[in-house]
Amino acid sequence: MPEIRFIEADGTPHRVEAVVGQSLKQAALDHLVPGIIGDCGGCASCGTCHAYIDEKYLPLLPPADENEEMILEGVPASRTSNSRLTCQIPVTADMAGMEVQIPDTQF
Amino acid sequence: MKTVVIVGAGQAGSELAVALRQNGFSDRILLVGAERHLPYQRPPLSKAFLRGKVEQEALRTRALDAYTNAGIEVELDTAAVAIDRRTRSVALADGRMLRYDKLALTTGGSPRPLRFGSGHVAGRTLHHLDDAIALRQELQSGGTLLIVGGGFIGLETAAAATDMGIAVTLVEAQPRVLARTCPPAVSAFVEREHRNHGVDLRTGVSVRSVAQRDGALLAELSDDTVVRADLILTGVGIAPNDTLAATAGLAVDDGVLVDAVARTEDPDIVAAGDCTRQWHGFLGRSVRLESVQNATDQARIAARTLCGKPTERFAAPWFWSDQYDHKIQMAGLPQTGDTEVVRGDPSSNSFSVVYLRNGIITGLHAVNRPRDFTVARQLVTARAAMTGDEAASEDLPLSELVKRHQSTAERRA
Repeated sequence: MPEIRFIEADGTPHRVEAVVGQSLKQAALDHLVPGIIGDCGGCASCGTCHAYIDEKYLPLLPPADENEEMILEGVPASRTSNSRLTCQIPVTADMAGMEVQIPDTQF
Repeated sequence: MKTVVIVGAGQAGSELAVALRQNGFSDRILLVGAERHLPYQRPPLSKAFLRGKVEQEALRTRALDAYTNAGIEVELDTAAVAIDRRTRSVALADGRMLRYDKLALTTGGSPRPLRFGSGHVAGRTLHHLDDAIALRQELQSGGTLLIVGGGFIGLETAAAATDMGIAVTLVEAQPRVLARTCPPAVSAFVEREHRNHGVDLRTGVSVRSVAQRDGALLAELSDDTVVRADLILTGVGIAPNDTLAATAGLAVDDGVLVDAVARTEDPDIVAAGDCTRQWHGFLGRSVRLESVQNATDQARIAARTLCGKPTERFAAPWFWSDQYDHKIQMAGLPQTGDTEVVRGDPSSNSFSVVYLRNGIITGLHAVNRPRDFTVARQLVTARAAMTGDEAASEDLPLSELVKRHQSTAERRA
């Protein structure tokens, strides 16, 4: 169970013991982390689980597919090179210590 | 110690319970649900779950531990039968009484029943996880399926069943599918795709009667043809579960009436999700919204109201549907009289329909264009100005219009 740190836009940190195999979005939801919404249930339709991933962990992640790219283009918070939809990222053991920054808005 | 009782353990109920904690409520929270399952996501029931692509556990909105760790008491398989507002208590089917200081109603909706002819045979419906478990099992053993109703549930089920190798006939009484919710170009696309996948899709016909013969069902249609099927599924919309509220004397009008911050007329009772008819500040009218986005959004608003910080949210509602490999996404709630402008080629697999009213974008329906959809959500919420030519122009990305709107808004400020 790697420990992942979710950080709200106002700086409030949340330490989450994530389950390997579940999505990063689900880990946030199961630990009541505010600001990760995920209304579409994880099918990359809504873009409300957008977050900024720790740069040094980016190479560990599966790359965003074309659909995720298109959803990310329209997210209301600024889109940066480390923007991802957390529903598309399965938790792996080597994510221990990773920081995930939550944007100020998802709508 | 105060107690909040939440009646209805669907997506709205789950979100409301969690949002109470996130907003600092530290006393007792009781989440009561009639179904035997932990709160789950309904949208996959007619999509990935039916096709056997995801299992039951993956549908849960949150793991059991999430509620336990947050000190949220969950009572499943427990129906609420009455509310006594004078003593502030909820009567349960098992005879128990729950005292509340504040009550939240997230009772959801129920499929509208459809009976054929003399009423001997009623179609199945697909709304609850148990419906989906049963339907999935039957579809896995093959056979033929007649779907009555060309709305999202019927069409998504048709797509899933076809993928499973089931022969599907779908009948819709209106001249086109999705007539209530989508523009003709989207309906035409959807009809074409279903036919390409082998669905026998018939519009402008209804079922007159159904008879049972030799273990099969024979449906007689309004055009005098007969369809033979092993199973009939009806998908003709849902009705809000507002009887509990109505019996308790709360105002109800095809949904529990709530204001823009989820309050009923009783200061101790809020309501959220499919069971409500709300005053929608952004739309400027009273609406009943059946969507996950509304259920969870309104639940968070209701939680803030219960925590003494009512906050209205002015944003465009949105919806989505997956059929085969296609994504249909809708932003805003266009009204009759809005101008429709097609963006892209509607005979292709990727186009959008933009809705305009008085030079303002009021909605967008995207077929396989998630980029248009997410940007449109912002444009509709911002009430951005747009001409018909701009809406139609493929050379002009909608994101450019967001930038233009932002700079105009800044100049005004």
